[in-house]
Amino acid sequence: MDRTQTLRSLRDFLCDEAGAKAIGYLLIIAVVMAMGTSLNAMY
Amino acid sequence: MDNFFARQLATYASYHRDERNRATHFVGIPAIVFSILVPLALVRADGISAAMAVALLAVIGWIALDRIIGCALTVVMLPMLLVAEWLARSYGSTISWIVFAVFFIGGWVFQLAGHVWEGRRPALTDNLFQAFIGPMFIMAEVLMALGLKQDLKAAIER
Repeated sequence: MDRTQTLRSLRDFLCDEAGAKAIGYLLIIAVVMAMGTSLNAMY
Repeated sequence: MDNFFARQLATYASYHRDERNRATHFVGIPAIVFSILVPLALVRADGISAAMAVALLAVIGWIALDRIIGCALTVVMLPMLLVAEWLARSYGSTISWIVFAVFFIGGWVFQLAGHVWEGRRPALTDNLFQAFIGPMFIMAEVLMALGLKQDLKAAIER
């Protein structure tokens, strides 16, 4: 699979329901984890 | 228009029929998004903050769902991110967490007041993914008011 095909596959995945949900939930997890790290660093 | 994004937007809209509820979200959602960026700007590695990484991930997801709305949200996210970074660098963790608390709680007060008028609980209590759609819904409303994204009107008013 060349670079163009890889990028097209990635774009298709992100635009699809599975990709959108993956980003959405990944974002929520990233926010919770980073806030935990930030809070932990205070003490 | 009947793709995944339009369906998600229609679901979000069904929880926000009351004009007063929609109005409170114009204050609540930006306040909450900004509040989250502030403590994330405190976490850094190699000059990159968690706020930058999260903002980048969010705009990639929004642009993938809808290019115009995603690009418009990028324009709004950039100054929020810059202010969050400045606050974190200039004032440190205590002030940053106070700013977070004020904007986060304040934002939710606005949101929940709207939902009291609506008589329906927030959409994310039924589906957490709707938290990702909230900023897009607000931007879609702004763009539609400007005469853009009329293709989404049918989905939202369904």
